[in-house]
Amino acid sequence: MNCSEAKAFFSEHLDGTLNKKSRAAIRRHLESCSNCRADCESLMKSLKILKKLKEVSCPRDYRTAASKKKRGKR
Amino acid sequence: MEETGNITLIEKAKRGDEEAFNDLFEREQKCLFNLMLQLTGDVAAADDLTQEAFVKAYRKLASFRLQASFRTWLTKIAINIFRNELRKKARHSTLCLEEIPVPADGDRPERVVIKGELQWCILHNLRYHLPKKYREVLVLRDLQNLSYKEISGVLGWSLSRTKTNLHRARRMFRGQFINGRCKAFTDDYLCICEGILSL
Repeated sequence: MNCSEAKAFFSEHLDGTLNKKSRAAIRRHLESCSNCRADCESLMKSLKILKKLKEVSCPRDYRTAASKKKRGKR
Repeated sequence: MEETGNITLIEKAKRGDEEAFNDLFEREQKCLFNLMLQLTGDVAAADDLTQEAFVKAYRKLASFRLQASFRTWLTKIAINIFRNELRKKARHSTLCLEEIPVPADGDRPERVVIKGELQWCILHNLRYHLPKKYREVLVLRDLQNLSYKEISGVLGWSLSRTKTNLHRARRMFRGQFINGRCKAFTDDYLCICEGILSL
């Protein structure tokens, strides 16, 4: 596996969705290539940043609004 | 696969049982509002679109066939509403008109302030610096935790297109943090917090 092939698999590698063969191949490549290793690690860290986005509470209850509109339609 | 409890509620709601409808939607409204917020980056727009999605879901519930999970079905409705809304708006909605208020040199804001700014910065990047297709796939995978297969169904893409676009979306998102002014936040965040956010 060369660098270009490895980069195409980074996303799936981080999701843990690669099959056994591809997973082993990318691990071997990352062990031997410091550039790809750094690239993959920074991708992982940026995903950690994204996942820092917190859920917020709803500003109101939408169920009532939906059922009122539904009734209004009848 | 839909859980048995949910299936019972869905069947009841489809027969017009309002209590079942309320129970079903109560479980989903926070998730749906957050999805809309992540897609639009704007609380007022998310509020309007969430209500629109619920009204549409209520009206279309009879046609829900349990082939996907209820959440995935709702997500698909939400994405369509979001896309329609974008079509209504002019192209300038993709332009960044806001300046990111980077702290002045030497200023060391409290950790809680940095965290708040980071939240804003993430939403800002999603809203202004990612094309719609990348924003959608990134939000669905990394914030809504849908599987590749579910995302394919929601966005109407093949599995391979989903994987390719997700890969590009993640790279683009990272690029914004490296090249954009948001890096000032992530650097500070690294100094003050867990030390995991260095790029």
